[in-house]
Parts: sequence; C-alpha cells; structure tokens
Amino acid sequence: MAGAEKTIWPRVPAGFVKGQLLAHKLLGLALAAVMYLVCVTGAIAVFYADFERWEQPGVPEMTQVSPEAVGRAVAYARQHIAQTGAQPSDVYVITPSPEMPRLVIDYEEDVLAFDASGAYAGPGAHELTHFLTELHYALHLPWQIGFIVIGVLGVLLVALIVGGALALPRMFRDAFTLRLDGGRRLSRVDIHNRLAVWGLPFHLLVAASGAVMGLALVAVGVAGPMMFGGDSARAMADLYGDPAAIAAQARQAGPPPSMLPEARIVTALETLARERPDNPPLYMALNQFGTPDETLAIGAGHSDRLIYSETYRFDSAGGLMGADGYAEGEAGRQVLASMFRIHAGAFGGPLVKFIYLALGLALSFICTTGVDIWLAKAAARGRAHPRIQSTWTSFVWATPAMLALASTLYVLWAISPVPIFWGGVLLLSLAGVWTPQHLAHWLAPFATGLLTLSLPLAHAARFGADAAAPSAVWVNAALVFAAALLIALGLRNQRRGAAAHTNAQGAPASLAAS
Amino acid sequence: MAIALQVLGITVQTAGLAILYLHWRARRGLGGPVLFAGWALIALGATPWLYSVSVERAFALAMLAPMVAGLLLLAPDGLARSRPNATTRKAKTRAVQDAAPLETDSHASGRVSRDVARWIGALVIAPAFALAAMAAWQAFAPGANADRVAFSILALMLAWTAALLWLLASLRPWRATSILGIVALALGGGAYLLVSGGAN
Repeated sequence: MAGAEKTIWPRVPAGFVKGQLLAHKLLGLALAAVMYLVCVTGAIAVFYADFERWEQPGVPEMTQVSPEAVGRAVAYARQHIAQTGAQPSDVYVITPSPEMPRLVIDYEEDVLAFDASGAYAGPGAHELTHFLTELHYALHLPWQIGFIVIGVLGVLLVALIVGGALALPRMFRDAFTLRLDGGRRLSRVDIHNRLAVWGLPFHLLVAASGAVMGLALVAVGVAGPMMFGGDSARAMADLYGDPAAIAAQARQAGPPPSMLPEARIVTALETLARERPDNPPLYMALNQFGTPDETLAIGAGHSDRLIYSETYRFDSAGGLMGADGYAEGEAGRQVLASMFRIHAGAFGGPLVKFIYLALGLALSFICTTGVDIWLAKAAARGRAHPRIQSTWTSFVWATPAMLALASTLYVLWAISPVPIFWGGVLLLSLAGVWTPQHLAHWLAPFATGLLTLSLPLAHAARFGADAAAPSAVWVNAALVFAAALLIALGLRNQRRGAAAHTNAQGAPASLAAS
Repeated sequence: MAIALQVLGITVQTAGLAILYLHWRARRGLGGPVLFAGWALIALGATPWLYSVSVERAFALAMLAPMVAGLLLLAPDGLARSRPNATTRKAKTRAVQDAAPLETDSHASGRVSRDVARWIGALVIAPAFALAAMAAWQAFAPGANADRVAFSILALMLAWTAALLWLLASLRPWRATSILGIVALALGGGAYLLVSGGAN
C-alpha cells in the first residue's frame, strides 16, 4: 500500500485537515497535563480490586459464603455501628465474587472484614486504593464536583480523539508505518499516530463511558426543570426509585419467617439463589440503615452482560419485590448500567484487564508525545522551549514517582497520600524548570523505578509473610517488574545521552545539534 | 467450546489484519479484492464471539483483538527501520511534509482577537451549546424518562465535540462563536420556555 499511487479512500480537503490539526493542537496542549494524570491513573486503576486485596493481604478469602454467615456478619456490624455511635445512611455488604473473594461490610466511617463463617476478622479498609481511584475519577476534588470535572474531561477527550482522527487523512494508508529511524520528531509523530489509530475504538469508548458516568449528575440536574416541572426530587425518584415508597411497599410483607440473626437478609439471599440461580450476589445495600425505613437491595451479576449488576429489591420478609431494570428495563437504563464495565475493562477476565492496562498506558503516552511533538516542531522553527521541555518531562515522571512515594509512606506510616502526591508533583515539576533535559531524561525514569521498587519492599516490611499471600504476591511481583523496567530505561537513557554527548564533542556543531 | 470459538475469532481477525499488512507492504498493493478480503475477515472474526458470549460482550471483546494484533504488526516496520543497514524490505518512506501553518503571515493581524474568540467559544459557548442540546433532547425526544435522560448525555457529548472542533478549527472563530451562541440560546431557551409553558 505504501507505494500505491491510487487509493480507495476519499480525498480530504487540505484546509479541513489543517483546521482539525489546529483544533487538535489547541485542545491537546491545553489539556495534556490533566489528561495524562487521568489516563495514567486510570490505566493502573483497572486493577483496583487487586490493589484492594493487596492492601489488606491478611483478610480471609473465600469463593462463596452461606446466607447465615452473611446474616451473622451484618448482625455484628449493626452492633459495632451502634457501639461506635456512627450513623451511616447506607451500609454495603460486599459478598465473595471471583473479582473480590472476600466478605466485607463497608460504610462511610469504617470497613469491616469477616471470615467464611461470618465472624469478624479485622479491618478491611483500603484507603490507598481509594486514593488512586479518587484521583482518577475526581482529581481529589469533592466528589460531586470532581465527577463532573472528569465527565467534562471525558467529553474533551472525545473531541481530541475525533479531531485527531479527522486530522489524519492517511490513517489507513499509514496504518503499519513506524519510522523509528526518522529522527526524534518523526519517530514521535509516528508513535503518537499509530498508537492513536490502533487504539482508537478503545480510546473512544473509554472516553465516552467516562463522560457518561461523570455527567449523569448533570443530566439528572437538567432533567428537573426540563422533565419534572423543576422538581429535582421527583427526577431522582423517577430514575432511581422513591425511597419512601420502596420502604412502605417493603414493610407490607411483615416480619421474616425465621428467627435467625438478620433473618430478612438470610431469606433474601436464599430467595435470590432460588429465583435467580444464574445471578450471584455481588453486594447488598442496606439503605436508610438503622431507621424504620431501612430497605434491602442486592446487586447481582449477569455474567453474559456488560451491566455491572441488576439491583433486586426485597421486602421485610426477604421476598423479592422487583428489579430496578438495569438488565431488562429501558435501553437508557441498560446503557448507563453498562458504562462501568466498559470503562474499567471488567468484562473478560485478567486478559482484558491487561489489554486495558496496555492501551491505557498507550493513551498516556499519546498525551506525552503530543506535547513532545509540539516542542520538537517549535524547536525546528527556531523557537525552542528547553524549560518547558524539562518541566514537562519532570511532570510526566513525577506523576508515577509520587504515586509510588505516597503509597510507600502510607504503607509504612499511614501518612496521608494526598498532600504527598500533589505537593511532590508540584515541586518536582517546578524543579524541572531548572533541570537540564539531558539530566531529567535519564534521572527521572531511574528515580521513578527506585521509588516503585520501594513500594513492594515497604509492603513486605509491614505485612511480613502476608506480602507473599496469593492476594498480594502478584501485585508485588508486578511492581518489582515495573521498577526493573524503569531503572533499565533510565540507565539506557543515560548511556545514550553520554554517547550523544561524546559524539557531539567530536562532530561539527550543526550535526551535533541535529 | 467457548474458548475454541474465541480463539477462532481472534485467529480469523488476525488473519484479516495480516492480509491488510501484506497489502500495505507490497509496493503496488495486492489489489482491491485482497483488501476487501482482509476487511471481511476482520468483520467475520467477530461472529464466533457472538456464539461464545452474549452479543454486547462479544462486540466489546471482538473489538480488542484487532487493536492488539494491529499494534503488534507495527513491530516489523519499526524493527526493520531501527536496524542499521537492514536488508529487510520496508515500506517506502514518503517525504515528510509539514502541514503548512493554518494561520500564515497574511493572517497574522487579528490573531489576538481570534484567540480571544476561541477562548470564549471553548470555555463558554461550546459548553452552553452542549447543555442546550441536552436540555432540548430531554424536552422533546420521544421515549421513556430513563431513555431521555441517558441519551441526553450522548447528545451533550456530540454537540460539545462538534462545537469545539468547529470553532477551534475555524479561521473565523468570532463568527463560529456567535452562531453557536445564538443557536445555544435559541435551543436551550426555546426548550425551557416551551416546557415551562406546558408544552411537555
């Protein structure tokens, strides 16, 4: 195809392509840093369930648990909550599933872990994973604001992807071209374009699904005046159910038939297993917890679907009242319920997650090479920006480095990771202004590798033999592998930099500059 | 059985991509029918997934395989070029042409004004237009409430993307910004007035 003069593809007007290139450049440069931050944390957060298990490697794991054990766990949690004086509005019971083989009860103030018999087994909190995921989906802003900001970024990423594709009229003709011998600028252009083209469906879906999840709040907010006469509460009730009506309906069934602890929950789980044998429970939600209006809903998996779960609602006797319609309701409900699994790659096992990791890192790399291309083009036009270049390099490497450092400090001494991360990224990026690029080029990946290596070491120091438990050993091994790669990259860059420096000293200035 | 079908799907899709790769490598291409066969195999490779898992999961999984295979097929050209004095045949390198600057010196006057227009358009008008599209969708689109709310997010996304790309790419961003602003006002305001007047 490379040499073919004729093409089946329609010619795109040059002016249109130039316009789209300009739009892509303006959007890309304005958003590169925050987009990189979101993309790199998202790529890592694909394995959020594995990180949660790694964070508490001593928590008992099981493939399934009896309804009676769940009832005992909830009874313990109810007593614990009353004793501590906490007043959570919602309490979530995570039941064992292939992705999270643990019995955990989670509410705003605390997380409790249980063994297979439903006996309390210790704390189950995973703050470090929250730090990572909340950075990805809210940038550590208050969650309503952060969600919307990330949703808007999702839309802007869609615009970047579409604009980038429109600016590439030779997208198919150049699909296999990778000119690594074309100098720094051309090789970066090719890497940027090829990663973008081959990952296009993934990038578009991830951006759009993130936008839909982030902007659902906005849609409900607009629905109030546009569809419900300005009554936002009515909008929420219509879309997500009216809590008071659900509670009133649930109460009509009367008390549960058994005298077991939390008999309603035990009966509900038995009912689900009987009436929906192909839909195992993933979690239970106890809404309006501890009040007379407390209601029970069970989120059950549908392995043949992309929806995260269907929500089944149960009455006070543990009987099935109905479902929210995520599996078989209106198309809009099904689309919204499918966004998470599409976004997080949670629909095809570990292999799909690894592909998501690779394509997510590719998207991060596309963000960094985009800025590199602009810098290289500016330099070629005689307007080099060495300080911006070194600052950008510092920022790019400071992000994973500070993720590793903040995590290490939290694992060792429970130091809050948020200020460490943001303060570190800011300081290191600023330090980049005065750091020569040739130094940042090798030192940054090298230091990131060392900091990444410190995390599994800290984990082993804190958890001892549990660091080698099945729930933790793979994450630790992956961290060591990543650290080794980064250290090797740093050393390679140092060697190449030194060789280039030597060559430059023996070559004419014009050649050395090229 | 499921695994066998999935492997079959991946194999057929990879074969399709390999044909596209060989077509690309050949200096004069391998002809239209071969090109068609490559694309057809990529599409056909999705069908075993449909028998293996449900339609929606099959579609998602079947999209991933060609992406990975395509990225792997970049390796031959990249490796061939990175080897000094390589005898391996590699694709003909085209002359690298920079896209000419969109705003040439003749357009230099008024650049600040255009940048101001782009900033206003990108930060204020495009989001306003997108919100107006969302509101109009919710007000007038047919279907159940859940559908109108869910798909209004897609309407917002499409409107925002189109608006941004148009006004950032435009050589006359003030005109694009003004048009979008007027349309946003008409769309959002009109929808609200009609809804509050009892039209919905």
